[in-house]
Amino acid sequence: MAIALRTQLREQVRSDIYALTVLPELEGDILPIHRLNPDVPTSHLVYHLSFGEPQITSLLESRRQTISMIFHNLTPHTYFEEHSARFATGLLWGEHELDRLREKWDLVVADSAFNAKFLEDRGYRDVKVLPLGVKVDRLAKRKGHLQLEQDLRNRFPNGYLVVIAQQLPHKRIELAISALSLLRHTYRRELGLVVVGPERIPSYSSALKVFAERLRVEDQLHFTGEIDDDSLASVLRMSRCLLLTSDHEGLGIPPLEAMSLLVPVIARDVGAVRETLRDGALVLPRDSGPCEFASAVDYLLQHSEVQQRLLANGLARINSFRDEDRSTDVVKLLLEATL
Amino acid sequence: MATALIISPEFNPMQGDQDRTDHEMAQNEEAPKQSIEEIVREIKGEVADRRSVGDYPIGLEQQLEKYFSDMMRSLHERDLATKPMLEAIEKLQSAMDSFTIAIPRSSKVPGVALVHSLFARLNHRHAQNLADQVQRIGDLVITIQQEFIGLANQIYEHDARDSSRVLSSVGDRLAVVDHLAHLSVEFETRIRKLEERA
Repeated sequence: MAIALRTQLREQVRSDIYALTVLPELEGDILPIHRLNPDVPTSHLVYHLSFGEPQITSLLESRRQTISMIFHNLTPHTYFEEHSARFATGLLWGEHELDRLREKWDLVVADSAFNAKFLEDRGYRDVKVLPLGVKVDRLAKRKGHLQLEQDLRNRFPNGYLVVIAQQLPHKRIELAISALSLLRHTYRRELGLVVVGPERIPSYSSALKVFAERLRVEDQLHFTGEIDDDSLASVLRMSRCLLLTSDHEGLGIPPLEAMSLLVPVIARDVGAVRETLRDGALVLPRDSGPCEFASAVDYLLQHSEVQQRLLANGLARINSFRDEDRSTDVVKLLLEATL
Repeated sequence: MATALIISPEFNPMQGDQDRTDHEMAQNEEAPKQSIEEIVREIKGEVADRRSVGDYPIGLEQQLEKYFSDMMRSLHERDLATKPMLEAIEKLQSAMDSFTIAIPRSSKVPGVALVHSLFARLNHRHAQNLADQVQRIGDLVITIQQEFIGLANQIYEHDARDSSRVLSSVGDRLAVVDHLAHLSVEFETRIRKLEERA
């Protein structure tokens, strides 16, 4: 999303992206933080916050230029305490940074009302809400990956469900695996489950695989890891349904992308899910577990008219996002804040 | 060559179960539409019904959650325990790949270079034997460490009682390897002293 914003800003001003850690494939395009441009009053720093680093906090505190903060959500650190102390510490520092630099920002933007409320609960005022980074047609325009589609068709002749998420504990992918088991043993539905997303915490990813073995559904489960957009479009397009099982969601882009490809969505009512998806998805109560997910999948597969209604609602929601594309509004706000 | 576009209707997400008849579909279209909230309530009701008839044992979700959580904790502890060994294996592998013994052959003193060269030729076989020996020891250490990691996995996944017997056997082998490694270091030190005297 930072790249999309940079592209728009470059239509009017010089703009670059700097990062503490630059992936090898982005070197040259994204600049290392130590090359940050001089701290002049006429320049504008836009800070994307979703994690905390003390070095960045110090840097921001020292700058005199206009600074805007775009808040992308902080996953509660408690989800990571047992598995990755470093990650948990970074998230905790992010919360500390929000409080410490509250008076530093000249402009604050949140990408959902849920995220705005998080800031307001911490004493922030005048938070602008703009659904940034949602490119609803991103996957619809992709031609797909024919070989992958054939492979999925061969492997899952009765179709499959899909989960799109980083393999992190708060994504609760194990709920989808449990639901898969219930669908097989209680509802007699031999569906597959494809999990798309990179491994982030080895013990969590290992646990998912062992859990599937214990529930005797390992043959129905497929982890793709991180895949490109063509492959993602194929996986989504071919799926029977997308499941969102997270305990925490700041915006929820994968369900929107599923809706754009006419894939029904079943999601838990957490974070910004209801605000983002509205009646374009079957939104289950927050405390829903594998039994509810299994029942919901079976219900959808039995009632095609409900599926069609969800898909129609989903398309309408996607269209409203298209109309609400506020990236130009953000550019306008940023430029105004610089003056 | 044109690319064949495969269209498979059975993956049409708009399609429900195959056994729904056209008549039932038409009836559904005429029936008053439930709101999404009503559908969600119906789903919850179905789950409650299944619980009451015993399809879902009481506490099923909590048991699944606890089981997964315990397993994840156990695997995390295993990863913490085996991570240093995995890193040691990587370092050892890297060291073995680049392990060589080079006896210097040059000298600024006339005649000494010839002596060095003669000595190098005489000692090359010994040096190569030493390199081979240490290489074999390194391979053995790697194998033993991998056995330990496999054993750690077994302990975390199964009963530890059988594993303790295997563990002591592996420990014995490791003691032998350790002794061999000590001997090889001593041997190398002697060779170096011989070279220095030459």
